[in-house]
Amino acid sequence: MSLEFGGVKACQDVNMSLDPGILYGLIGPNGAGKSTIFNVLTGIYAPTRGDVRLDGKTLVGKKPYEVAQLGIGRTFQNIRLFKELTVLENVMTSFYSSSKTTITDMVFQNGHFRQEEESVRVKATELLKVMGIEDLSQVPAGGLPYGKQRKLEIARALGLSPKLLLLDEPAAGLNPSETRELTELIKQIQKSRNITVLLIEHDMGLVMKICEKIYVLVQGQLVCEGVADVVQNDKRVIEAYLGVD
Amino acid sequence: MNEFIQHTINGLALGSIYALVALGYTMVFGVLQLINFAHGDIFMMGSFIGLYFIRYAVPNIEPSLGSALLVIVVAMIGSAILGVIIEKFAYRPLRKAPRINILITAIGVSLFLEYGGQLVFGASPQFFPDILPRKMIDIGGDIILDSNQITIFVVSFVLMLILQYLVFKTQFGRAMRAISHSLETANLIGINVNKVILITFVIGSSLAGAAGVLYGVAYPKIDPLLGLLPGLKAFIAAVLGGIGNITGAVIGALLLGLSETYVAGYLSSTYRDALAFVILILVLLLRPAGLLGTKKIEKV
Amino acid sequence: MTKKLNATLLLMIGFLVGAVLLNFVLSSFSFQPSALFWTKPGRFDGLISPYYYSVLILLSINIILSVSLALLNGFTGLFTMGHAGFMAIGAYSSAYLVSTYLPTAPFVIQLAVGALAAGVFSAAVGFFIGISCLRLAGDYLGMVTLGFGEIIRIILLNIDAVGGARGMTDIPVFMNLGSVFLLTLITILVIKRIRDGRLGRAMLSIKENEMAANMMGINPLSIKVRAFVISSFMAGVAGAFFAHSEGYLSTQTFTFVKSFEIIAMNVVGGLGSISGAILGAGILTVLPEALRKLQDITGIDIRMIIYALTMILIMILRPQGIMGNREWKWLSSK
Repeated sequence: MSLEFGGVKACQDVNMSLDPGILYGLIGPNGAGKSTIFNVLTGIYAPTRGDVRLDGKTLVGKKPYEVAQLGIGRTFQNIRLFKELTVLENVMTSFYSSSKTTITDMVFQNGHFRQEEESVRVKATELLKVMGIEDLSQVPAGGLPYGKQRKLEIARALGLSPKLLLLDEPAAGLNPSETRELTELIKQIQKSRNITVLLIEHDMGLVMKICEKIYVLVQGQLVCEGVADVVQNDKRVIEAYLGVD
Repeated sequence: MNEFIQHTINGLALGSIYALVALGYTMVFGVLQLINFAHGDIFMMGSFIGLYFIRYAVPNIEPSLGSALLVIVVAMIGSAILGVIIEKFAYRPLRKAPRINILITAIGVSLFLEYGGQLVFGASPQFFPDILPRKMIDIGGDIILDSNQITIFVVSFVLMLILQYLVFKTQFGRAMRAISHSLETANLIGINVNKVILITFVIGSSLAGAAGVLYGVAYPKIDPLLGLLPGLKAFIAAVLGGIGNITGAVIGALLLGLSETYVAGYLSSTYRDALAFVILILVLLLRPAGLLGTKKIEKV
Repeated sequence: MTKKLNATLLLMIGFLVGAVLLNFVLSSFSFQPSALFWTKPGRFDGLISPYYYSVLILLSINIILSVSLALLNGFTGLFTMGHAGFMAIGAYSSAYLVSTYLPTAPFVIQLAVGALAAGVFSAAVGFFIGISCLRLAGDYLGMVTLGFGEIIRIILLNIDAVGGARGMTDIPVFMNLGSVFLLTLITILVIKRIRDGRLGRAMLSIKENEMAANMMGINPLSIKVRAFVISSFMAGVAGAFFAHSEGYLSTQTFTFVKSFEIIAMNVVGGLGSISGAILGAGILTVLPEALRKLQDITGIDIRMIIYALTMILIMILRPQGIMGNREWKWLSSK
């Protein structure tokens, strides 16, 4: 799978190419436009120039739910869980597009319905297990502690069986031990499912530890891309973060 | 052509009454984002306050401009008080509640006023007494100007001028507009939000009350359910003009009054009421912000 | 605060029970355990008096209306104010079809054809209104559906074939309590099952956070339209039941005030809850009727005033409605 896009907005000129199975990081000071890129990738915004392609096919003009169905899953910087639904139900929502129960099935609760429901339930529970929150499956999502909510967001996005997983500051607000745990988890998931991950983060420790390649975005422009060492020592990156002396 | 002018005059008169009511809707929506369903019934109450004032306080009143003004002022005061009571006891407690709750309450207040009105005033229509000497002026070409219509024009115009001054040239007006933009921010910069909202209701309700008396003058048969349809139409007028926008409310109302009269005159009176709803739907589907509105509509 | 809420609830329930009991005592009813109430109507020599019979039918119809609105409002988060319009379409189409083409058919056929036609017509209209309006959010959707509801009513008012302004009379009356009750139960079950399936989850997710639902591969417009169509279908069927239990129709029954009444049932009972919708329908149907005897004695019609006050008080004192979004045991999905 490959994802490329270029030219997000008139004021930016971003070219990124993501190869399958790699864990990418996207960093940059606040307001640099990182979430904007996510929004373009998922079809919320349309690029004023340029294109977004997944496996060679363009995504521009597709609605967000179509993009999701094609295999791009995401989490949100400010958590967007379905608070009144249970933890399990939250994850089950992302299986909606891949299920095939019809209204008649639902009304009569026939064999097909029960089969599908069970299958979705099992798969969703699996994802909860992976994220370590299976024990909370019947709890309304709104009642979860913050760290577990973040994990639930990831589990839910995984329900799409995505080829590309976009994580928007997954460790924001977590304490160091939670962050460590999450870091490991992300790496594990990525490797075991061989999915491409693009990760926005401010926690440099996390980024440098697991990202195989990093893009740096400053004020809407890509100023650097490369592996951790390269990026850490890049002058422009240092400037952007620490200011010019 | 003459028929057209006649219809135009009639339409403008109708529109002026709508305008006075529409202003209340738009102002309350501006500060509270609430469609005050009870507003049309305050309009109705204005009518009845006028009626009962005449009947019990000044039963032998001589039809004259002075009498009319007196009745109007009394109705305005009465309606304002009613508006304040409603705001204080029904809406204010729900200031922080989800939107649908306050909408339901508004509906409840509306029903309460209607059926309460039927209970107290009786459900059958009553005649609004003459408080204005009525003259039909023939201005040539079969066009008849009803002196009542002139009164309606003049009174509405004056009231709207006063409102214009209040909203755009006073501190109160500035505060009201600030709240329309953001209630929280207005709070933070020290505006006494409760007071401003209260005054908004006072103004809106008194305008509706005045409209109620004018309505009684123009269409002498009044009953407690009269607020329903005209109230809804005034609301639609406000939406047409851009809900939240005061000038828009007036323009929308005049346009609605005119088009209704034209449709009734040239097409068919049975579909007259449908026109308002067609306009509502067209506006919301094609240009939800209305003619002058600038509020961004959340389209998904 | 909780003490105050509980006290109010108790007071209300007590008042309701008291009113019903009072009614009970003051009215006379005949006990004739001969026929079951599953008979053709007009033969009220069943177990209950004609008055209670008609109230129960009305209650069932209101339950269907309330529950179908809950699908839209409480589950999918769509605030609409035009539900009465769909009821009207259903009522008039069934009434017309059955009076004109099946006036002497066996009642099961009349019921089947009438209800089906009612549902299908309402759903069709609902579909078209839905795809044009459901992109609007919040209040605007409410307003535009209000407009459509009224336009439907005005159009019906002007169609002479269904009676026009005089209303439609001589409609075959074949709804009996047994069939209405059964069909109401079926409606409730259907809605419960929809809610329990993936469509229900999708609807709730849209209500909770539409953007997130979008990102999870759910097409919001498609779900909303589906909810709208299902809801309109049921409202239409309820309308058919109404037509064939009253025997006559007047467009005055189907104004936006009726839509408001149905919304009130939802809100009083609890917005996100099927049980709430049923309870709300129960309270707001029975309350005015229970007070009717009071009205007969005192000569004052305070029923609607009590109705309005109930709405206001519940909103102020218990805004989440009586059930909140909880369900009774048998409706719970767990």
